[in-house]
Parts: sequence; structure tokens; C-alpha cells
Amino acid sequence: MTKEENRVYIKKSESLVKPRDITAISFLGDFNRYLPKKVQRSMLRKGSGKVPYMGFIVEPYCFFASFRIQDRAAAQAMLPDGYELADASIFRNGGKNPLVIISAFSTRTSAFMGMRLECYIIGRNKETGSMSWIIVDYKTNTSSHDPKNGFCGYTGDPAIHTTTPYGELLVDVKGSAGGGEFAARADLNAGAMEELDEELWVEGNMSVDYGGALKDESSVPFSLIFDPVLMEKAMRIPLNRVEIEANTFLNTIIDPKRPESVAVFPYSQHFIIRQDLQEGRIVRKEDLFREIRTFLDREGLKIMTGDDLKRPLFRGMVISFVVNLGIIIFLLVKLLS
Amino acid sequence: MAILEDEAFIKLVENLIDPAEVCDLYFFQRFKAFLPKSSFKKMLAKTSRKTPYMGFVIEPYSLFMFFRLKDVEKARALLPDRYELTKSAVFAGEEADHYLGMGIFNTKASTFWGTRLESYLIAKDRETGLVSWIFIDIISDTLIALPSEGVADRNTKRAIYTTSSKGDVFLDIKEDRSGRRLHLRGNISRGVRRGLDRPLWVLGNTSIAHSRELAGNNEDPFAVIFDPAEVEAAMDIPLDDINLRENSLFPALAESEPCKVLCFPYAQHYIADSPGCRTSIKNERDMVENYQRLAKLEGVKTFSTHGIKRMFLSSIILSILISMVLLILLVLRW
Repeated sequence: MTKEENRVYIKKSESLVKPRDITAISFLGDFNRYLPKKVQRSMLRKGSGKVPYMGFIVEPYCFFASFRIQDRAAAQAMLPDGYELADASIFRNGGKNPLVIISAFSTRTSAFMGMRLECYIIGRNKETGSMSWIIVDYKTNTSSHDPKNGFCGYTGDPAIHTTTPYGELLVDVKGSAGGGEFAARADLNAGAMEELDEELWVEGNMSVDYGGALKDESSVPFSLIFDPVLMEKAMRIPLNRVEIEANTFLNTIIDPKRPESVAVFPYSQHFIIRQDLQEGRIVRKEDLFREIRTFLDREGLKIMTGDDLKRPLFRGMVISFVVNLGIIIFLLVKLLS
Repeated sequence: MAILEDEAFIKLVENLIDPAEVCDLYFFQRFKAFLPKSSFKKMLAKTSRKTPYMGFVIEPYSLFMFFRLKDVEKARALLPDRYELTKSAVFAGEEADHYLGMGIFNTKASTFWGTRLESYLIAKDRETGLVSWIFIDIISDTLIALPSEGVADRNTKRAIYTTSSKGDVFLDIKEDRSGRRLHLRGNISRGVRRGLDRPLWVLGNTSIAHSRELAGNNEDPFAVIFDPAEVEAAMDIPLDDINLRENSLFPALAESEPCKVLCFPYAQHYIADSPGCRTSIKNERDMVENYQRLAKLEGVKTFSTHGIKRMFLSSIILSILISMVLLILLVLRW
């Protein structure tokens, strides 16, 4: 992609993310969690036809720590059917091993904004041979959705991802229902930009799926859409400048306080998710370019808006008010006649 | 007076921000059109009394631009009587001048979340002698707290401020009603860290007020509490790296091109007052003492819409009950 196309893409993906709509969607969307999963899935299917694109912006200083898997059998059992463990490395010149990756980031999307901590096992799709990020656990302080739990969220408190004026990154997340804790500090001043492993970062993000406690038969792998330039380089933070103070995530298959590598992306990252994208449409870098150009060429995109949810609510309120008023008038007429 | 341990305060600020509460407040705020302005302000003040502190985080890469004033008298006329326009330096050791400042950033707080473009004049508080930041304009795509209104709705649908993987910044903010716009493209990767003028950046942030138009009846300044290290230095961005495409915000007041541009590469953490509350700070020592007191507090409650929600639910239940009683009466009468 050219630099100019990248600029237009960034601005267009930003335009899909509006605080006013996010707040309304988060507030009203919360009621969806009480619906049966089948109904939720049907709503999603219908919605994705009407609103094809969702903006997904990862804010500056997104943190990634990789841990070597020590119990391969247990890790393999957490993968969905059709995947096997893959040897991977965060950086281009790193040694490749089966990996767990834990990431912490602040995000704004078309439907929610907040902090997320995500845990992945890096797998390989046996059929296509593609590297895949398998999300096996996550915590968040905002709303969420996954195939196993449907509409859900608010699972982390505290859920902190921030920086200090001294250039230190702070992460502090605890599962609000008592499950899982991760706390880390990283000295950003010690970081230096380094080339990333393309297979993991570009190909891997074209095939994201759910495993572990989030494994569900209904899960279909999806691809993020992004300009691969995003994944060229990140800051490598020397391990002696990273302190993992607490980590109980996946501690049965990794040494939870000894990461192999730590990477931080210093600037924002702009992704889009095409909700009506068919499985297997993105398998190569060229497919990403094609999808981005399609996105850039599409005019008058319908975006997720709070009004779509608010309108039925207001309609209900107005009808209720009119019915009440009608009854009062009718009653008065009857009483006075 | 330096602060040696900032993690507790930073975590306190972050913990005061709950995305679910922000969403709820935004939702309920839409109903304020059905209430008299004074009732909404009272309700907000009641909620604020229970949770007087509000976390306020400015996200990394906040951008500040300073434009030389070209009509000083016009600027003076915007200030409330309590404040006197003053010259100030921006970076430490520089010559002072009259400036219009603009701060552009993404922010999250206990009561709002989004992008803001703030415009300020620099003045002196005649009563305290402190350098003060005077808001003369706020354009935002999220809720705006104002003394005259309590909480105002967004005034722009288009507010983009973001970075690219190569250190470019993209800014495009346009006020819906007037069409006034700030539009630029730049790159911050050649910025050089430089010390900032302490009276402006530290003491100035303990004395913040609003222009005559925005202040309503309240000219008193308010303070934000923070670690002075947050504003000790910033990246001085070469002017050549900023390509201003449109600036139609204050064409008569200040020059259209900035003479200084700076960027804070990391997040900044403040404790601010909840809407309707005011903290006053006498000097830097007073602020640091407040900072240390807050950092030690445990179990601080965040701004919560619990009361508003209860009222909302009560009205729904009441409405259902009235409907049922009416229906029963109707059936009996029939």
C-alpha cells in the first residue's frame, strides 16, 4: 500500500469509531447477554449484513510478552480441532519455539472501548498450513463477545494499561470473579525498534480463532484487515528491563514470570473487521491489500450506531406513553359521562 | 518538592475510570432534554458530592500548539474580570509572549471518553497571582463539562486525532454548528525532549478557569492534581514537520500558523473535580500534599450513575404500576 492509501485508510477506520455510538451500543447491548445464545448468533448474522465493517483501533504502547510452552500435550489439548502447535518467534531473528503470548492494550472499536488482556497459543491450521493466533483466555473492563460466552465482558477489575511520565509501561489486571492475575512493568526508554517475524504477525493475524476455555463448536476463524506495514517493526524491550510481578495465566503450561521476548508497539494500530467476510477469503498479504482497497472504495458505509438500538427503545416508550394517555382520557370520559 | 513514588496515584486515577459507568452516564445524559437545566445540574451535583474525585487520563501523544496573539484587546475582552491577560514562556528559559494555546488529545475520564480540542488564553489570577489557563473553547466528540451548562453534549461528529506506525499524526476536528475546523498532518518522530516553563505548566494547571461566555456565574478557578513530573518536559516538534491544512478556529484573535508545537509522548494522569465540585490549590507544595493524600486513599469510589439509574428504573416501574392500575380501573368501570 502507498503512504497516501495508508493515511486514507487510517482516517476511514477512525471514522468508524464514535464515542457517542460506542456508549449507547455498550449500554443497550448489555441487555443482549440475557438472550439465548442462538438468538444472539442470529442477531449478529443479521447485523453483520447491514453493517459490514467494524473499526478496531489499538492505542499506543500495546504490550506483547511471549513465553515458551513447557507442557506441549496440555497446550495441544487447548487448541480447537484442526490445529497443531506452531514454532514461532516475536522477532525476525529470534529462535522459534511453541509459544504462549500475553498481550495488554487499550482499545477503541465501533462497539466498545476499554482495556483488554488477551492470552494466545500460537497454532497452525493443519489444513491450510497457516499460522494462527488462538485466543484461549481474556479479561476486559468493557463489553465483549466471544463464541463460547456470547455477549459478555466486564471480567477485569482493575484493568490497567498505561504509561508513566518516566517512560514506564504499567499493566495490572485481575479477574473480577477471582480468576487470573497479571501485573508487569516495562521500561520503554530501553526499547529499540526491531523487525518482527512476518509469518507470526501478518499471516497469523489473518487467522484468529478461539481455544482453551473459550473453545466452541460455533467458532469460525476470522481475519483482521490491516496494512502489513503495521507489523514491520516493534520495540524490543530487554528482558532485564521488564518485571512480571504477577502472572497466573496459563501457568500450568509456561513459566509465568519468565518471558522469552517482550515487544511494544509505540504508536496506534488501525484494524478493520469485515463482519460479512467469508472464511478463507484472506490467506495472503495480497488479499489484505484487496480488502483494504475494497474498504477504501466503498462509499456511504453504514456504521454501527447507537440510534439503531435507541430507536426501538424510544418507540416503546412513546407507545407506552400514548397508551397511558389514551387510557386516562378514556377513563375520564367514562367517569364524567 | 519531587514525588518519588507515582505508581499508587496513577493506578488510583486509572481505577476511577470505569468504561461501563461512562457508557451509562452518556446514555442517561440524553434524557436531560426532558428535565429543566437546573434539575439536571442539581442531580449531577448530588451524585458528585458522593464521589468528588474524577480520574482524568490524557492518552499518549497529546499535542499542544501555541499561536501568537494578534489582537490582544480582543483576547482581554474574553476574560472574566478576575483574570488579566499575561505573557508567558512555553519552554523553560524562553522569552515570554502572549499566546493562544490549543491542546488536542484523546482522553478517558470517569465521566467521558473521546477526543478533545481545547483552546486557552494564558492569564494571571488577580486574587492569587497564579498563572492561569483560561478555556475559551472546547470542541469534542464526547460529553463536555462546563460551569454554565453542567454537562453539555458533544459539539462535533468529526474528531480524529491519531498516530500511524511511522510516527505520523492525523488531526481533523470540525465543530458541527459553525464549521470551524482544525486540520493537520504531521510527524512527531523528530521531536526532541525539552524542559517546559514550570509556572505555566505546573502552577497554571492548579488555576484553570473559563472565559466569560463559558463560565456562567462562576469565575473561580479550579485545580487538577498531578505529579509535576507529568509536565516537566515534552517533545519539541520542528515546525517544518507540521503541515497545517486548515485552521479556522480564531482567525481574528491569533496568527493562523503555530510558533511552537509540542507533544507529550506518554499518558498523563490527573485527579479532577467531579461536575459541580471545585478544588483550590494555593501553590506547588499544596498540590504535592494533595497528591500524596490522594495516593494514600483506599477504596475511593468512582463517579457512579447508580443514583440516576435508580431514579430511571423507579420511573419505569412507576409508569408500569400506573398503567396497571388504570387498566384495572378501566375493566372495573366497564
